[in-house]
Amino acid sequence: MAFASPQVVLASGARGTTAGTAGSATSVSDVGNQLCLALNVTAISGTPNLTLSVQWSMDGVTFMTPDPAADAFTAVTAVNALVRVFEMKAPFFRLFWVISGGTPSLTFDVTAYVTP
Amino acid sequence: MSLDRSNPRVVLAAGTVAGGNPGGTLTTSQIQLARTSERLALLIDQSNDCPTTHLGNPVAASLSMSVEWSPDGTSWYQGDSTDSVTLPVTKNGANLTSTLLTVKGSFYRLVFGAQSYDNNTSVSVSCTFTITVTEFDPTAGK
Repeated sequence: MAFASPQVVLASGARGTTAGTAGSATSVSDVGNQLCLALNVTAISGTPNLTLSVQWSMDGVTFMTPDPAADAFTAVTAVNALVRVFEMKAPFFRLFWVISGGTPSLTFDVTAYVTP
Repeated sequence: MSLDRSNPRVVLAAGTVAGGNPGGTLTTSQIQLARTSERLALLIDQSNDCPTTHLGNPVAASLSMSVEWSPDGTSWYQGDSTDSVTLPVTKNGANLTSTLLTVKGSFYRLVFGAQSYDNNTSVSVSCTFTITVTEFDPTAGK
């Protein structure tokens, strides 16, 4: 049984210390309750520390971070392929990431899909 | 939430975890969910003797089992800490371990690894598990 088609929210690319957002106003399906995000880190240089989180929006314009606990991956410091599931909190979401560390660079992409 | 019990199937008939430090892994074939399930319950039954030996002497060891997920059967991703369990390995004993997972993809596979509790020792483990997977589908019966 397959779920809704996976959607690339953030295409693969090398990213440095600048914080970023992606997938703004990405509408999620109403057929499930869980948003799965598949993070694929394919290359690193320096000593990077990637914090990737999800922000939610009711209108696709104003985005909010869940409180008290953010919907976030644990910090990523190495090449890896990880999936995390987040309970959906609004019709729209976007990714928000911050990269820190010593001369850091990570090449990564993110794919989203919805499960029940 | 209704319960749907999938047909039992053999996904890993027999295999060997490769040696080395920290040791190799053994991965099952991929399994596709039978339904649009929300949870997976895994019941891991070690009902037989699982001898572990080191230089002819029994030592303590454990097996770890983690679940990897895929949305398409091609790209595989590690889950979070809830997707990993440690399986105690005992001689002349029986262990029953269960875990409840949140579904993170349409496909999953099981990855086994072995560890010794005694550092710097090479351990041989021979163990058989029966793993029963039950899918929980929130839409079943509606």
